[in-house]
Amino acid sequence: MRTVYDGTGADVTSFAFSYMKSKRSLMLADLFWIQTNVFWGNQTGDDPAYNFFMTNGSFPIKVGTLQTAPDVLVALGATYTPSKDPIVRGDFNYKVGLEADSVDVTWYLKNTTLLPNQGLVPPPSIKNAFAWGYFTDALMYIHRAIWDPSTGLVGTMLMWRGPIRSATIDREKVVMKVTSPMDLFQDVQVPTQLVQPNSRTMPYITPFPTYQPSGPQVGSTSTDLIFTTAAVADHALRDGYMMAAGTLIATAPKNNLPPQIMYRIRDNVTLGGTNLHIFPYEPVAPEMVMGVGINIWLQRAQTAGAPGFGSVPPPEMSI
Amino acid sequence: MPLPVFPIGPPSVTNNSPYVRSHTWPVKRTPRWNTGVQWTPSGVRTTVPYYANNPLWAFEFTYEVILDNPNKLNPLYQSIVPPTDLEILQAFWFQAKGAGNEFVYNDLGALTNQPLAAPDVNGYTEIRRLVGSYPTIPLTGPPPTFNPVYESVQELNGGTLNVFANNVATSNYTVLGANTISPYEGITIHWNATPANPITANFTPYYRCVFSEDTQEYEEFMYQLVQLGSLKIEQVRVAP
Repeated sequence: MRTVYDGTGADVTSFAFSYMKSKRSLMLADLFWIQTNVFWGNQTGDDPAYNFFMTNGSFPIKVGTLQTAPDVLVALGATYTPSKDPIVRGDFNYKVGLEADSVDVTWYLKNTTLLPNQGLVPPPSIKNAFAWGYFTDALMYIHRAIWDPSTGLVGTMLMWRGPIRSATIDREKVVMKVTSPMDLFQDVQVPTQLVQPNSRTMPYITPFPTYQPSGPQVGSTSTDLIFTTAAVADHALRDGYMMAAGTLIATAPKNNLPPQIMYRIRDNVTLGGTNLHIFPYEPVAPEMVMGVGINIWLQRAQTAGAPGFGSVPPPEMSI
Repeated sequence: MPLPVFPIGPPSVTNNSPYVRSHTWPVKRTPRWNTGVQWTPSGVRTTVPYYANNPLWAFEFTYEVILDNPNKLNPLYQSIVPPTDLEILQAFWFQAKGAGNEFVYNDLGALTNQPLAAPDVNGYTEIRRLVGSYPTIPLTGPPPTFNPVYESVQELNGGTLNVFANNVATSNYTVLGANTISPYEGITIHWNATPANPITANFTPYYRCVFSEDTQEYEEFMYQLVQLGSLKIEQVRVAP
């Protein structure tokens, strides 16, 4: 039996086992926790993650402490509420060994379900954010809660954890493929520069961007983003990188969170003296940068990277 | 924002309430639970109740005659172009887009003196209605004790909530939405100070509903007289 922890983080596996054996009717519910960056707002690198807590149970379940990894407990104090947009999971398949497996989680999201307002006006819909790839590599934890009608939460057990590796979107739902951590070794190409012994701070870029043009103007499209800024020489930003949303100064990757999404710039021209046109290699959803501006870094030699990798670009995270 | 109110009520109150007239008995009320069942070969049975505390209701109405006569308009509906009863029903059906949009249905009327629980350890009290009571010992024995059974109230649709602490009206609380406070499915109130017992409340509960089907068969069996054999609606759970 999986280890069961109660709301205080105490191991109550033995009690839960005998409790479940003694009952002919059990109240069980799945708990879904998605953790990601606030990619739709003015988040800085030090801001906390944003958490979605949902349950497929019919009532809200408050959980004090949860297991998030082997021997790792987190004092969460969160209330998992029944989701207005139903969320269900597929079967869990566990294997012993090094084989990576995944579970499909289906979220029946309406187009009108928006991300909470975090400074980006108006917040985009969650479904669109999935389609644009912003939830890629966000972490998902799936727990099972055992509930007693009289005494409340008996305990929770961690059933699955891993990143959302991909999402399939159609008119009525988003199907997320949530892989196990083993996926990191089996299926993910790890850039060589990612493996280094020192601090993870600033491995690729300077903390402060070269340019910080103001939010894109109305009329921007996904392939032609128009900003207001002081003169930038035409073509000067070629193969530079931009952050899609917010004033992200400290961009160090954080444990258990997906890296900030960056887009690569194909070219730039300035028209009318102050209208900077940026052409990304791949389409950018204007909603994600509208009103919050972007940061631009150019490729150049660095001294903060790992030895031997002094001039490496940020990883390709564009969509 | 309040949702549209279903313009049908029980036949007993239809003719003097703001409802479409002339719908007939029977009215079917079906509370539905949802249970996962696992049988063992030996016959031992284990269940998982997916609806933990409250069922979802389904209702079915019958209209033997719906008036579509512009000379016999429903006097309770005032507008520039007063609709006939059929036009009221069909307009509501259209705005709901069949089974698409939610609305509320008042099946219970206004309730008074509903007993609420004392605040929990965090100072919350759920708004609920008394469904009934059942005896806990055989009726042939000593006087039975009765266990009250409650149903969470998930929808007031903007209506007034009057709470009484020891029979004295109080407003020393904050109202919170349904399914936001663990473990309550209903609307909850958070007390600013511990109230005196007993706590009771007056309110008009609604069920958040949708039409069960995307089609309706209106049969005009005589001139300006329409029959609707079955009109089904069903409750949906309110989620934050």
